[in-house]
Amino acid sequence: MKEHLIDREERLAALDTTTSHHVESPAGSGKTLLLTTRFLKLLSEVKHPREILALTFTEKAAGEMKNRIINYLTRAGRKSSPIDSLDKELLELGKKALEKHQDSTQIITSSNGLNIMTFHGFCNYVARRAPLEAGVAPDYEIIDEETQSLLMNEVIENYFRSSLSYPEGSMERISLENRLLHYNNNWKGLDNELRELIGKRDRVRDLTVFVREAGGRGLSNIPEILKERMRPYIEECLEDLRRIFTSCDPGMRWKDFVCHLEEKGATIAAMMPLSVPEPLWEELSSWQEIGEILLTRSGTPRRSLGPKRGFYDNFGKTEWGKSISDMDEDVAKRLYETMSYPSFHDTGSDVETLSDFIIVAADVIERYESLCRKRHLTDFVGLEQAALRVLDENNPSDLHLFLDHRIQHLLIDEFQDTSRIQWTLIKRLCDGWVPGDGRTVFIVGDPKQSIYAFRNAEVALFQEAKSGIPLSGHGVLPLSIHTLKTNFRSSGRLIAWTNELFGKTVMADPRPEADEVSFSPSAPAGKKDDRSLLSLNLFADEDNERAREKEAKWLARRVRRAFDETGGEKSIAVLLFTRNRLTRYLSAFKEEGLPVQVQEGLSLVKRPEIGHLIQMTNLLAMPHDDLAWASLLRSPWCWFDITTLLGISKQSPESWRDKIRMSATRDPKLRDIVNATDGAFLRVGRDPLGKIVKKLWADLNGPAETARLFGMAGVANCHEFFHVLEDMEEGIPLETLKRLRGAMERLYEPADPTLSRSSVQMMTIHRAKGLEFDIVFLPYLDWKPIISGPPVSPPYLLERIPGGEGKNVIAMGGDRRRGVASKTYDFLKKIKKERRWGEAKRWFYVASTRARDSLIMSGVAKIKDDIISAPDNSVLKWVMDHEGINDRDTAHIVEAENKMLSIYVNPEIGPSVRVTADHEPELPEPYELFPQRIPHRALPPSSFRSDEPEPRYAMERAESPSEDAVIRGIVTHRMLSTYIKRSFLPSEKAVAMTLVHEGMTCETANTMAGEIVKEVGATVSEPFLSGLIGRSHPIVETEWPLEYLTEGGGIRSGIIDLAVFDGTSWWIVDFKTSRPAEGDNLEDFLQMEEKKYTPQIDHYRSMLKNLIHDDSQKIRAGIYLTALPLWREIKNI
Amino acid sequence: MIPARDDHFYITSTGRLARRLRRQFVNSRIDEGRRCWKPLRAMDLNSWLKELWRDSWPDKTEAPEIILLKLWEELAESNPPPSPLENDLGLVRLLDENFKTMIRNKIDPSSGSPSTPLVEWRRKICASFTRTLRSRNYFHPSELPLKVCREIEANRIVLPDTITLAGFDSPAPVEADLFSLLEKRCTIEYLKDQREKATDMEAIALPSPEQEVIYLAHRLVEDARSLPLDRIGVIVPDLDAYEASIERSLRDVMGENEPADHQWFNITLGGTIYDLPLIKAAMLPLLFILAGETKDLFLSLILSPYYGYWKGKRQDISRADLIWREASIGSGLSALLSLVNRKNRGTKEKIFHGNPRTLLPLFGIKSTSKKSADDWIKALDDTWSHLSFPVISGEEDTLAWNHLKEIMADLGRHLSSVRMDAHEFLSWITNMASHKKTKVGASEDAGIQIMGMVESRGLDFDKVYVLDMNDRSLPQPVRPLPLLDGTERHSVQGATAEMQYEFAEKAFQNLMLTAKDITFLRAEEENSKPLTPSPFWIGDERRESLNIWRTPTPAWLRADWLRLAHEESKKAVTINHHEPDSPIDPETIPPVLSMGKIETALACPYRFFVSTILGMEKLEEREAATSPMERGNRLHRVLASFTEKMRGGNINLEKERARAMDLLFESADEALSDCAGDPLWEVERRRWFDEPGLLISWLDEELRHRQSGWICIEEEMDFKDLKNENWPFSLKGRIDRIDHHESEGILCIDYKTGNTPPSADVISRLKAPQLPVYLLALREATIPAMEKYCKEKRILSAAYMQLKSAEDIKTSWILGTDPLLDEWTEVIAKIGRILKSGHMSADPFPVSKVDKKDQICEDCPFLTLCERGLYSDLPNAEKDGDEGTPY
Repeated sequence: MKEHLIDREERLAALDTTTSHHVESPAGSGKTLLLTTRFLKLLSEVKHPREILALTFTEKAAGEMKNRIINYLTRAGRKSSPIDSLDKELLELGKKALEKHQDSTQIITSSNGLNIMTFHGFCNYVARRAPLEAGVAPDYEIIDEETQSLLMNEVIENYFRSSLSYPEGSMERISLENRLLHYNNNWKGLDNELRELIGKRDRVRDLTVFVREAGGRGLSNIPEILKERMRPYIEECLEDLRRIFTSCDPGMRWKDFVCHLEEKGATIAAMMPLSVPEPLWEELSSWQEIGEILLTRSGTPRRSLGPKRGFYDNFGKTEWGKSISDMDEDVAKRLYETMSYPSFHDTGSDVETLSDFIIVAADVIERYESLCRKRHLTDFVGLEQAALRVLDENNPSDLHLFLDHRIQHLLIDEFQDTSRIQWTLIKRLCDGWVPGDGRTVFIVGDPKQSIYAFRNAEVALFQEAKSGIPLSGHGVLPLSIHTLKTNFRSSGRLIAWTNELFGKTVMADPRPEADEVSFSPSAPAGKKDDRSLLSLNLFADEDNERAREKEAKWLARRVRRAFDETGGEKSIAVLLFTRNRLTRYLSAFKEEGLPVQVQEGLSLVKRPEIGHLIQMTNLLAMPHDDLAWASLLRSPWCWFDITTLLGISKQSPESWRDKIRMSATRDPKLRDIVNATDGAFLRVGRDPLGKIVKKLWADLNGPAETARLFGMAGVANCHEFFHVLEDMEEGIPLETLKRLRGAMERLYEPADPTLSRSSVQMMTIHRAKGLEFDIVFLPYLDWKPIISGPPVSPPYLLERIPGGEGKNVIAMGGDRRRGVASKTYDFLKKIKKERRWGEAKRWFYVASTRARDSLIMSGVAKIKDDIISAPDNSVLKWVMDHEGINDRDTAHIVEAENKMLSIYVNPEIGPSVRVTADHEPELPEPYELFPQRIPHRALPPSSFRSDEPEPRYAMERAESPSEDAVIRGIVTHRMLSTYIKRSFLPSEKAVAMTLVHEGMTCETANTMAGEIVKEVGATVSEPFLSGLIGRSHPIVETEWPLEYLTEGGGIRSGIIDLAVFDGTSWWIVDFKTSRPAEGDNLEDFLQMEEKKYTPQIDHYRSMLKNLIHDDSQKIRAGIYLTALPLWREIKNI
Repeated sequence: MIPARDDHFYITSTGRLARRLRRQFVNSRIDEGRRCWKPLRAMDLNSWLKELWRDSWPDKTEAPEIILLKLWEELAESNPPPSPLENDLGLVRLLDENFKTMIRNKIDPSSGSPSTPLVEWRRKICASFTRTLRSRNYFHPSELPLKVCREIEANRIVLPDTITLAGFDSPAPVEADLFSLLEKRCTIEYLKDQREKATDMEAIALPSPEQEVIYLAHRLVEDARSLPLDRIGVIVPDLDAYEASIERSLRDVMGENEPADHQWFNITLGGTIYDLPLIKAAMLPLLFILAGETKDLFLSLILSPYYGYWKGKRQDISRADLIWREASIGSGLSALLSLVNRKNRGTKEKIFHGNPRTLLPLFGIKSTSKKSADDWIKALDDTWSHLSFPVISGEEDTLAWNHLKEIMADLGRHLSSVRMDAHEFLSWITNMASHKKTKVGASEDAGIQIMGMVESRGLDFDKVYVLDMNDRSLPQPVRPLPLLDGTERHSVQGATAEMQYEFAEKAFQNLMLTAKDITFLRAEEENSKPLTPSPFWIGDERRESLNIWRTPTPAWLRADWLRLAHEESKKAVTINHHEPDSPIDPETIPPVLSMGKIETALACPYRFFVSTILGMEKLEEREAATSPMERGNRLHRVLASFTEKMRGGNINLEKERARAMDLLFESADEALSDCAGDPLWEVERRRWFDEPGLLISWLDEELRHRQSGWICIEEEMDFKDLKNENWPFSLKGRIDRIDHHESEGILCIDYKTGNTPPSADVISRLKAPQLPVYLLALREATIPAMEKYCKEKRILSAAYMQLKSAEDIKTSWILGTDPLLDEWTEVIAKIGRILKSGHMSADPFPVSKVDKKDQICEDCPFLTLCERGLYSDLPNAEKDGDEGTPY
């Protein structure tokens, strides 16, 4: 480790493998390196590699960690030369690890041997091994989003149908009806609510249990329970308020103050509490009264304190009056906040509405989980719940005990993204540990980079974990706290600016209740080239739209310049807060001719060529979809003028398919289309839909037309669509179509495949997490986080209570018919908003810290009379406030250029430097290739039969020979063969079992076995046959397989039942178990059998002839009818 | 490959190796000029053991799969699994698989040291299983090697003198025991592997699995130019994951196989029987019944080509879907059919073939009660028979049908009298079908051979590609084996990382013998997740990528679609638009337009053309309940009926509120008379009347309205012939209600059960023509009953009354001033001129004063019919106030 690092000691301490650690590791501080080093170090110490468990949050992080560790182990094994001193250190650790595990060197170089996995991977590992304790089917599958969506459809549809068919007055029906009425009978609204609830069922589980427990009687207690969850937070706020309120006037001498007002005859005195209220929720109204008296409506201390307000003349000039108007800002703020608190009597919503909500939620969740269980499926929520059950602290499973015994060291990456459930899992994993027993936990993360609240990440847990890991019954596992400071990634200038911006403005005065985190500054790792660029480019125009356009154009050209200046050698990223301006920016880049790799950019379904392919799929799955037919005619690969469309529409048939068919008689182009679609319809339902659509597209010249209109990128989009369609195949076209629709919503255009791999990438900030780039462009700073995202007033709010140990509170939005929400709802909404605001600060931090060299920001500002300002509640406002340029004259801003951050207002867009494409080489000729001929397929001699006509309604019910007769034949043959080989006849019981094995029912087998034994016995003692199979002959072969090359080059194979060479002649005997029906003439029957088997016997004869190559040996062949028993020779023709 | 000798008896680890030996033998015989020969005796171990057992004429036999599953199920029924596990076929199959694994690994499934409840349960049930199976003279197929061993030891089996074993690099413990025994009884030789270890190797890393396959296809075509196809092998450790993409790419660069004759490639894996379309179609009647008789499944049944019953009519019948969608009928065969009956008898005739009894078999499977498997089979068979199932087309269908018959026969044979419900019956079929693999028409003797690791044992090629050389597939992940305890697990192959590594090591050694020239491929990432190379990755990798979109190789240009696209792309320097649409004949414009149509024309002439002239409609998805439109219609009916009754009864709302309420209820009863008792409409009724009922609130509003002097004089007034000399058409419409006020004049009211357009759309933006046209109709006195009011030149006004919810009743008024109405007259004239010109191009709001016109295109259902949808970039998703979702 480098000696000059300012946090060297912290880093070394964090590598101490005998103790547990909590490491705050800001962006660029080498977190992954630290983890890797610790892992390797531990590996060199533990008895078994799987005593270490490393958990990450993403597959990507797990993959990277795994790769790094295995790479060092492999290189150490190969004795690779180190690149530098750090590399040497790690290789040394790798070497030690290999030495420690000499017996399993290979194992630890494979990821199977190392426990490095995601949280979900770990949950899966646990649930798979202990399905009973996990409450899942042992062979469960994890479902994808499409399957989950279809399951939800099924569950909700069944729920609606069955619940409404319950008798009137039943609890289920009433609750559903009430919920529907709450939604003003808007089914879609309720459907969405139920889907969302299924997705976050883990958060309402503690309430839905009331429905099942005590037959729902506990439901009436729910409002009280919710209230008790709220109380600690509200009272904590009141406690804080009381503390600061009573530390200065008038709170400090409140009684005197009230007495003074009474004495002076101020009317307001009557409305004032006599003493400072207690910090109790029940006394909230007193606090609110104080607030109303002392503060204005906007929350500022009152200055107008005259008789009108209930005071007395000149009160404002008194000491008391001044204590009000000069009230401490913080006191005023907190007092004002009490106005938004729900009153003690506010229940969040009436008991009935809440009960309805819980009953419906419980029912649907139960149905969903039951369906999942029934189909042996689980989703990620289910997986986490399953793991929790396995690691149940009150009822530890064997696996839990095993893990407790096995896992000695736990490493958790990106801890800032931990959810409450994951935190519980970690705690349970460590539950049996004893401080000082040598087992360690290593937690690393950066709270400033916590941006996954939408996946239930709780940044506050990072702080909570600093107090150690609670161990049941014996205190906590202490963690030593470290904060890394060195930033290896960014230039000094960038680091200094982010320290300033976030430390002093964006993350200053964090509010923990809004999940805000405090900022810890970073320091550059060493001497760095500090010619880095740091700029803010503001676009201001009275027409906002014009300003946005300018920003987009500037961005494209500025990126192009950076690209050209760096010769495409440096990595450039354009990071976006949302996808909302993606189309605009992409259009500008396209115009600039700049290749950009977009990660999850534009929706695939919005591409015109894909719209048409979807219509083609609709058409094939639903031939009555007239719009799909008309769309086919207007597709890029068909394209008819509207006059033709009009002509077709006038045709008499009702359906467009028939209209087109009728018009095609006069239009050759239409005829081609009809022929192509007819061809496609022949295969619909039989072949995968994707294959048919692709073929139809090709038959209609789709590839060329797509390329002509949309270029090869369009063709690549189509290619992607076909893949998806094939993946969605369900075997039933309409079901495939349903799956496709769900999947399409979540698909993005692939990166333009015709571009060579560009060093310019565009992605959302969430995608960029964990990545770094030389130059980062951060446009759209005017983004307003609070108004983005889900609707402002959702039908209900489910929000975690600050400091409430992850407990959630539900409040219902106003009934859609009434529109009035409760105070609790408004309160939760406020908390939600504040949290969102807090998280936006962290997005901005993540974005700003991705850059190594340069950070170039831009945004659209407001301008009026040359005064420039940032939109309220926008990211830009933080920057402009920090730089002191908000609400300033633009002329003043120009002077700010020599500051750390260069600021430009309406910078020159500059000329386009579009480079014309190089002359592309000619296309090579495709290779000529031929399929391979299938060589001689071996066919049995009995395979001569004419082909069946097709298509047909194949019901080979009565025509086929009786299955029992076939089985009888097989077993008889086998018995004869056994007898011939071993002179042994099996018992009746053995024959019966064989018949059963071949597929006969026990009853029939028992009856038939005796008959067969008798028949075979008679056969083998029949003089002709017994003479043949006597052991005296030189050659006796039974079940004799032979192969024979035919004149045409084909191969025929055959098994001769009995072949005997008596010294002069060969005898070929083919046993037949057929028998004449009752009343049949025996000779007629024999002649028929002879005729039937002559070709087969002839083939046997010629096979044998070719085998023996001796014309002097006569071959006599025929059939032997065991039922008669009778030999019938078939003469050679 | 070593030459096989005809005097040897070969036992191989896989069927494929046995076939390969036999094929090689045939070739050698043909090369020797022989016409007939005794085939090589080579078979896989399992087949041989079966043959040996069979020939010993035992009094016990292997239990068929269905017997095993049924027995497990029965035992689990009497000895239920610990909660919350459910006794279903999934669990049953798992038990069976675990039993097999334990037997193969010589673990006693019935006993062991104390363990978890699940393991203890398994032991208990396994003990019963073995006992019961024995008592029925059956044994589990996995016990066959043990049984054969016992027979050999008892000298009840005749063994060949010499046996050659091939491909057994990792025999299971029971197999190893068998081989030891064989060694004592006859001469055992191990096939001397004469294959040479690979000497030419390369390791290539590709960016992603997709690129890996694209690159593979390219290389295969390159190699196929100099090597016979069957001498090229592709080995994929996890073939399941790659099969589809390899097949897709090879179909692209090579072509479709012609099974009867020529072949490009052969992929050993195959789908399960359940994946075959015929089997899926066969299950449709049962699925339809079990899923609550959904419309979509009924449609699937009708449209399925496997049901000959509707042959030639299915396209027609499928149009019934339009009726069902319109009526929001989503399920219930009776409901579906009766609606068709009401609305389109022709379709009904086609569905029933004229005889409604013909669909009765479908109801034969509609039974909630349990019945015997035989009864179910018969019911399903009757349904198939009546619906002429299956219409066979090709070898694959024949194969599928045979499989299905086999499964049904097995069910009938072994479960005949077992009682089950429809769901259990379906589970049996699907479970049996989804555990059998099938492959149609591929040959192992021609074409590039693509296979998994196990199938590659003992084979040799001139060139081999090994894919996915990442540690996710080599070694394979550890098997979880949840029904085994820790000690047992440690005796099972693949249950620990160490064992998987060991297995992979042997597999890799085998891989290295498959060709002298091997190319190892791996993807570096999948969905941005880095992939770790297999520990057997040979290192010194070369990184490659192949951009077929930019620089296609001659190999990939064999894909017709890609070649054609490239050729066209080279030609097109700029986007080459299609010819613009020529004007249509103006005579096609209807002479009379409704309000909805003129509104559409104002929004976009092309949309007007598509919806009005072509009569096109989007196939809307069915709502789960009552449709908003239907709810709106009924509410309109209630209000019209109510105001009419009030007027007829001369009722004073202020004084006779109770009576008015009665009338309101009466009107509601009338409007809902055809759906009385329908729970869906009961909810709507509650919305109208339960506190805070929409109609109750409306009545309050009505009272206020009447108190201010307004009297309702007409409702649902039609006007038909509103003309203007500058309009090429006349307009028609229906006014929901007309009120009169002594001093305020006449007021037209339009009830809106959704959102009302903002007043600006009527007054300044000129987007919403409805109210102005009503007022024009009044001004021009085209409403007969209103003549007496209009002649007096009264004040005219109009209003939307929004009736979304009880709290959301609002009225927005506009005054029908002459300038406004004149301006609207001109607006309609302008749109009239556009329509009359026949130029129906897509042009949002051509005569209105609207910003951001493009936003209308975003929700246009006809974008795929529109030139705008084809050429222009789609409207920007960015809207004012929409800051986007950040994830």
